[in-house]
Amino acid sequence: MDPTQQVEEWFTLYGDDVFTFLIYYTGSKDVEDIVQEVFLKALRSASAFEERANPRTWLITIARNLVIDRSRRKKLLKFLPYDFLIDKHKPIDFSTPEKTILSSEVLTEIHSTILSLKQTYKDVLVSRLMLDLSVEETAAILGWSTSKVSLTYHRAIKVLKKKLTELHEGGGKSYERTLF
Amino acid sequence: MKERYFDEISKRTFPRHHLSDRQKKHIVQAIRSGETRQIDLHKKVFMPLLSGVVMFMIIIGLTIFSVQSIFQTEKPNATNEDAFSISLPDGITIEKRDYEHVFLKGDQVVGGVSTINHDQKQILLTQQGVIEKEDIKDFPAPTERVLIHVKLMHAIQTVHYLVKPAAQDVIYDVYFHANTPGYFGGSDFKEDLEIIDEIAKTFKVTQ
Repeated sequence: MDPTQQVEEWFTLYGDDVFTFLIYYTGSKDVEDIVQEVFLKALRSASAFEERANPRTWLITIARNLVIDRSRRKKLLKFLPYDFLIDKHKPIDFSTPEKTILSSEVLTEIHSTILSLKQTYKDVLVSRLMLDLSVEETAAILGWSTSKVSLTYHRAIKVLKKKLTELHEGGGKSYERTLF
Repeated sequence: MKERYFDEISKRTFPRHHLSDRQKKHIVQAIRSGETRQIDLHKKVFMPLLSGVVMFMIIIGLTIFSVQSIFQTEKPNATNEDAFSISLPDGITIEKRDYEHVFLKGDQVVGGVSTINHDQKQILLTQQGVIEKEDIKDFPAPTERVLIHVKLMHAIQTVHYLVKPAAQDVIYDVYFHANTPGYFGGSDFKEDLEIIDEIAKTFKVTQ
């Protein structure tokens, strides 16, 4: 198949997956240019793509690497735009719908907390928890073994819970009413 | 309830996001055209690099200029051989030495021409032995005559004609030593001074 046609087909099939990954990974909805860059990069490397590999995980790997490269270039790891900084004393601002990634306050809080964790925990939680990727898919994207994925995910969940507990105990906001 | 909340974390479903039709169309077009991100490269790499190079050159240029300004010294008495002309009487020759020209009567230095700056002029005017200073009216260029009398083993009178041509920063110091009366052919200092005046009047800046 012609590389352009191949990549166009991948875009049709996995474009939203890449888009979703980038939104959660960067904390911003303004990622159209990165999505485009992912598929253009895939187009340039299409001939090197092994047929037995999973194009979805390959594309998400490209997306992740692009974000990391950009962050390194800026000399700052930006995963959370300022309008999504969650202060336990500050209510979430839903006044600008275009900036809202998650309509749920709870999910937004979980998301922002995930993005505040160290890199390895962020990687595994965005992949497994938010995108619901399998252990094997996550291992392929991150370049880890499946056992490392499982172990790190387990630890990351514990840390996430601990952070959310601290957030709740420190602030006066009650989330009980939103949960049940 | 809180425990249930945290237990629910792993069961939470985060929504999938979708590109809009406009976004999809735009990206598909980019894929089909194999568009590269050269514009970004231009803005984010070439222009900052060019700005950096220009800034570097400006800094280097300013540094060189500053260093030159600080350490540059005006060469005292720097002269250009073709910068002036003067008519000397028979028996008196002119010779270039270092940064000045000297008038020789045989082996004796009887005067010369050098270029000085304003600071050097002030030093000349304020030294001991200055007995006369006056602006000379009928010279080709604005000229100030300074007569210096120094008593050493024998009396020395030196007459300086400080010629300031228009549109030039330098001052020409045309000077004559009158070691003994009649040095320039006059019967006394006064006559020598008149002769020296006439010689000095022939001094012309040619450049």
